[in-house]
Amino acid sequence: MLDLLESALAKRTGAWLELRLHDRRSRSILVEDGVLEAARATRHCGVGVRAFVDGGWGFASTSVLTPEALLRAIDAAVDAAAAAARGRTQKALPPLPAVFANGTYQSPARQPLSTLSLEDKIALVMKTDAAVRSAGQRITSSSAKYTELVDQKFIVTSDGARVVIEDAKPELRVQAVAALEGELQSCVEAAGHTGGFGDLFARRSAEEMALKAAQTATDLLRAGYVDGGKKQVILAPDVVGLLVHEAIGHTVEADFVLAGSAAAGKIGKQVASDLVTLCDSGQSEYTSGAGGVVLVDDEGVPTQKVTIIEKGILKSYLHNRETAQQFGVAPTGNARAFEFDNEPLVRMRNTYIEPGATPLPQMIGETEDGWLLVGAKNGQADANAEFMFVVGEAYPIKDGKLGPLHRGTTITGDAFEVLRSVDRVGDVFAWELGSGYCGKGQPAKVDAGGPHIRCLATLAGQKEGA
Amino acid sequence: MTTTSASPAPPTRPTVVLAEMDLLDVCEVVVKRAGQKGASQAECYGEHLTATSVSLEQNELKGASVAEHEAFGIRVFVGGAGQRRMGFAYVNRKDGASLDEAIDDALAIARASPADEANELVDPLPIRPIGGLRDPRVACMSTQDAVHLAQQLLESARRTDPRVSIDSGSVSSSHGQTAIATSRGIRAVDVDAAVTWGLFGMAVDPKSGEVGSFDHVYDAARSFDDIKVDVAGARFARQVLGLLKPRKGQSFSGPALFSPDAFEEIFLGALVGAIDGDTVLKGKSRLGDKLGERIASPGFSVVDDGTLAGGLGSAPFDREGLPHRRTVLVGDGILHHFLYDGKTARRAKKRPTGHAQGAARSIPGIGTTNIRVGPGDRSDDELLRDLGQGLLIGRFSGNVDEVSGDFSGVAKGSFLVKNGRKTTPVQETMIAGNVYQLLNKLLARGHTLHRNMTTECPYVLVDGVTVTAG
Repeated sequence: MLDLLESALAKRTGAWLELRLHDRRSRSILVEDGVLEAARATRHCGVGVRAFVDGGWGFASTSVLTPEALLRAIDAAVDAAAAAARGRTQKALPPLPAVFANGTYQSPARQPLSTLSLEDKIALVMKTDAAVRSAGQRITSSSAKYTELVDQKFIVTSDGARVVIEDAKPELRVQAVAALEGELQSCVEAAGHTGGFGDLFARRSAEEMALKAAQTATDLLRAGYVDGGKKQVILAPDVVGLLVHEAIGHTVEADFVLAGSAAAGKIGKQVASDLVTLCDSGQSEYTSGAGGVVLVDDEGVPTQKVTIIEKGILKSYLHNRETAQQFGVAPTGNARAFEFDNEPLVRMRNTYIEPGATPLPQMIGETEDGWLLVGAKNGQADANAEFMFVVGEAYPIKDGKLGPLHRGTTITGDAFEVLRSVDRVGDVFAWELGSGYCGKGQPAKVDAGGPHIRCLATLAGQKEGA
Repeated sequence: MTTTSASPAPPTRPTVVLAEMDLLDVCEVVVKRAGQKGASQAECYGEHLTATSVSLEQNELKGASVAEHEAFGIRVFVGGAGQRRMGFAYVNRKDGASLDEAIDDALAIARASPADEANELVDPLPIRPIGGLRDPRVACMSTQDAVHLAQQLLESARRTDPRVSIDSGSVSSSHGQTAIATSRGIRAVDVDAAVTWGLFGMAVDPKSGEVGSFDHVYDAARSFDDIKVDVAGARFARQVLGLLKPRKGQSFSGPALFSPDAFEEIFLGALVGAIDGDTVLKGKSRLGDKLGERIASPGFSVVDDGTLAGGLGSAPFDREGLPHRRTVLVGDGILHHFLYDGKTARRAKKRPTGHAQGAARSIPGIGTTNIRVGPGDRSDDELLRDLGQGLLIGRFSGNVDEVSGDFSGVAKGSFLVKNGRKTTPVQETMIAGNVYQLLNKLLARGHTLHRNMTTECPYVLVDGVTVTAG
């Protein structure tokens, strides 16, 4: 395939060109209440062509993999770039030259996905769904969904990239719904990793996820509401992951910075407690199999570990080749496209806070009045660093002792204020958000995590029966 | 793919012929081929889309792109009635080998799956054309046309105030075709075209260094005459500038005025989820036993209409090839209908309602088309006066638990209301409540409907909202 792309590239000179063939095969299996609702196989394959002509960017895509179709796509991208250039008020800077990856890069996998047959995978999902329903009398509905993305990419550029990338990302999502006297509560447990089944189930088995979902949904039936207001909170690693992704990560994506995000102009400044060191990496630090592993980005640049905040000081933004040119720094390998027909954008990979020194029991014991928040759901960040995200479980802490489960809530605050308020950082690290997708016009598989941290944030409250 | 059927494809050059065939003909060939390979029933849904898009980034035109997309979703069943097993595959190429591989994948899944008596394709029903879905002037827009519109959009947003900062935006035109063929005799094709445009960004005050809250505008049109990018640009500027200098909100529990966007995000999303026939069947709907009963305040109505001429959610047929129709979901506060696709209808022993939804890449699911919330009798200013003191909620950034109905999140683009007038924007203000309880606390609705893509909705005054100021 590299030869096919290079042959087309050789026939068109005069413009900067990038050809990315992405062949994605996906399988998903959904079981609900013991019934196989949906099992599907998809193949989405084609070539995305980016062109830079006279200070304008153009993009075209084709799913027809013939030399003639590739040349037509290249010509379409060049024409689009020229049209864009004519419409701009100023010429865009060309992509910064980079040290490109060369060769074949394959993400490591423990027990590769091919070791289970289709029948085995269906049986695994059926069994997981059954485990939810057998976990308690209150469970009225269950579901389990397995999804795998198996990618092969070939990237060539007119300035020297020539790379093959192979990668697999499995995920499992388990839901329990419990009912009592007309009230319904649900809980979702999910895992998503890069690699194989050994990575997907490294920390806990499918059955353990099913039991946790069922137990939490049942417990939520009798759970009280959180009282709102500014609180001292201990965030579990999954919530820390959501915080660093939503609240900080997006504000340091260089394209957002250029538009005036809250992180603009703050390089070298204290933006967080000196206990906080925050990174984004294409590799999987601390434990293997993080869901956002990207060995080479979609511009052919090997990924780096980027230290965004070091001991509270903002050190770096996240860059692609274009923003690196604008900022006069080296690209960081953060250019990502979800599929062949998406253009690469500045995206995160695996984003995390480095572990500290405080064990969780000590952190709880040192908290007089606060909440332990667990179970990251969705979240969003704003340009002014105000963020919101949803947590599924809240546990009160009074005089150093953990109380019973309360219903989930929404947490908000100014991202940098929250990070400045961090006064404890836990000593145990976990990747927790690998089953999620980040949305920025197109999805991206990302992961995030860290240790437990203690900080101040605002919780939404709700009165009983409101 | 090779075929021995009555297809016009000569067996020696199948790929070339398939590549030249009409979308519907390819779907029919796939259905026949699946039958030859052992499927007892088969469905092929094809889509072909040509799109031109111009993107904006950081207050400048970023680039242009063109795409041509053709794809097929293939659903097959093996086994006899009551014992059918289902498999599904998708492929975005129409050469013979790729389609053959997809059929084989779907059959392999079907053979590995347990049987389900609900596995059955629907029977055909008459399909009527819908007007206003394809304006030739939209369908033939060029990249240069899109560039001009993008420039207008950018300029209309930026010309009034340099503090307006556009993070990203786009103008896209597309025209396409969808086709469906099934072994039960459905054979249908539809063409449409649309232009969409949008801006996302904030206001940045260079003097104070203040960065305002994000906001966005999106709109779309099927008719060339309805393309009004300058209106969207000016609205975007007003919105983001209005969010500068926010203040802390006030905590209270009581009435709040929901914008159409916020009402749709919180209430309509949960409502549509709860009347999904599949959700009802599985005991995950709070409204599952409420058919024919009051679920909302008197006067509140919601209608779904997939036959609306020129509607952005309109199409002659649904994802299974059944005709779209007009359905009263809620009338005068009473729940009238659940939504069914073929499979769910069979399980519930009901008729499908024409609400099968999805693209070629997905197995048909259940969804709505064009949603319209019935208007009330108040002007938007009168609603503010009715509220008196409280919160005008512009957008919602948070979570709605469709099962329990609990919602909580941040009120974005929201304003304090004092003495019946909109005053300062608020920050770090959280709202919470329960959708199913608050649907019975709707105090008033505006008489003006505001369209947001496929939804038309008025401003709605709702009692019992918990507001927490940060």
